[in-house]
Amino acid sequence: MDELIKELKIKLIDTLNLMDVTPDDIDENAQFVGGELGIDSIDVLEMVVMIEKDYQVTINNKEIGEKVFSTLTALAGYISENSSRFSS
Amino acid sequence: MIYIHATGIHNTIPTSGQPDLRAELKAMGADNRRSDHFMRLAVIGAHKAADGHELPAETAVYMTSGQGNTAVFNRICSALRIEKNLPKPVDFINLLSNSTGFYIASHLGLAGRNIFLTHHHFPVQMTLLTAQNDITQGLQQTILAGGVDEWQTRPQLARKLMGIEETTVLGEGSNWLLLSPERENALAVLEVEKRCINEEELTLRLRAESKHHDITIAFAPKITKSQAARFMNQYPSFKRHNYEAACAYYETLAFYALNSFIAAHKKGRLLHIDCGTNGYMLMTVEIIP
Repeated sequence: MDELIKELKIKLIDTLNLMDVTPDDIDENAQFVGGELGIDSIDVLEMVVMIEKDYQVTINNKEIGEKVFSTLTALAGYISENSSRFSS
Repeated sequence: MIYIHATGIHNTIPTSGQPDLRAELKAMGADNRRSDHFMRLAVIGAHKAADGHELPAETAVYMTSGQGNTAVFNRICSALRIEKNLPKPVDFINLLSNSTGFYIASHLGLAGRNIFLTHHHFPVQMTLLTAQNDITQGLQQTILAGGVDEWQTRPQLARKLMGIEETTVLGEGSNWLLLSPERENALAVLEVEKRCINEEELTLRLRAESKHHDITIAFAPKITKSQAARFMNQYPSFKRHNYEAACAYYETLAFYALNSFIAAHKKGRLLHIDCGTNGYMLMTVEIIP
């Protein structure tokens, strides 16, 4: 799980083009949307596409989305539960 | 007839790919993590034209481009057709031509009309003609009008699409004019011919222009060297605005020709001549001393 969180931090910076942010700056338990990183709904859309492409995990309804994008830890948990990459 | 109150010139000849504009944009306080090279280029040029001027919030943005935001278009096509994936949502948003206008308006705090115009032969002339009509009819009081073209990452293909020679050096530019109906404090007067004229009409026009003093001619890249030489030989009193020496090819070069003339002259009159399949298109700029 820690490895996945690390990986997600790097992908987050890259996908959202977060300037002047390093993985160490990201608190995995902090509020994800509307928090210090300035993540908004367009960023969430970017992340949904990235997660589907890189982990083959689909987030296709609002309720799941709200839960999954509450924190980075919650996102990592959802991916590890649903991605075939972590299912052994 | 409309008045030019400011010019913004950003013109480069890249030698190894698209130059990184982020530092320059950051210094202007305009860096945005969602903008791409084309948008950065547009914002830099518009910022330079607006710099030092208090633009009314209702200032309109009229923008044009020959090629448009080709990098984002290529990325989307590549995602859809080659990778068989969804494009990045931000790329999809940025593909809309007016997204660039939005970034300019956001940076400059403008809420006026914001349009992206395109035209196959005369993108600059048609944009300035639209601006001229809207100002003359009192529809707009201030317009920031500009042309933006980025350096093409696939130069051979770009040259083929633009119908230019394989050896033509490609450049990029973002050149803007601040336009208004007010003469006070203006740098120059701009007049865009409303229609294409034929060879005979051009001759009559040049003959009439030759009665003025201090006439300079700028030829668009579509005017061949021999045509240009012929015009210059016929009217030896005309000077030539050799703007081509400081730039490489992009489709909105006409903006650079006008802007660079205004920037370099304290008086004089420039006649810009371009041609298309239906004849010649003229624009004149007269510096207000």
